[in-house]
Amino acid sequence: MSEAFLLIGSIFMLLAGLGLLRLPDVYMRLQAASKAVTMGVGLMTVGIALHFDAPGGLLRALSIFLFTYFSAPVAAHVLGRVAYFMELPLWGRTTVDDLLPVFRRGVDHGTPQALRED
Amino acid sequence: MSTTVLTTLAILVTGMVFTMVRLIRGPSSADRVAAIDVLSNLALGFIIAYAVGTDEEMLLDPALSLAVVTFLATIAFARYLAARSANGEGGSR
Repeated sequence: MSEAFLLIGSIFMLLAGLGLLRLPDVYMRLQAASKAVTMGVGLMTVGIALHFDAPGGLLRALSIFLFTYFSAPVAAHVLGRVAYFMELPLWGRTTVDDLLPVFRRGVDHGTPQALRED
Repeated sequence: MSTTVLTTLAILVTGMVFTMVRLIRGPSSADRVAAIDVLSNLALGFIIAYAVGTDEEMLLDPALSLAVVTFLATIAFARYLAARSANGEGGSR
């Protein structure tokens, strides 16, 4: 049972690698890097918790899960923000860029300023 | 080690190969940092699967510390990239 969870989790992590390889721009790749990895590590920690059915194993599984669950999306968000202010190009067929009317791209890195002063 | 765990390890290594291709190809530094992030998470999964396969509960401690270090490394890289592009040295993306 625990090994089934490991297998499913590893398939999600394989999908993360595949998405990182195949998706067309850096923002989509970061999406694969955050969501699929979080899901994969989460399922694999369920595998640990079922296999090491003792307080020590459960506690470690829980802490690995919590760290990854909270840190992977934050890391991807920070990276995506940096990529946006590095003016990395969006995919050619992207139609919505919600940040474009709000921030000047590339100007004043790290502390974006609103264009409109109302 | 059972066949399921061995299959898990093989799948994770395949994912690492895909990620390494992205790490080498780039094209931007942000892509490479994302690839390093995924690579270390795949290594985390590898340690977890190996711990279950060999029934070694001690191996979960390195996995836990790797989970923490991965996050800090990604944040540090992102801050470095932000500082570098703010200094106008964004030549080698």
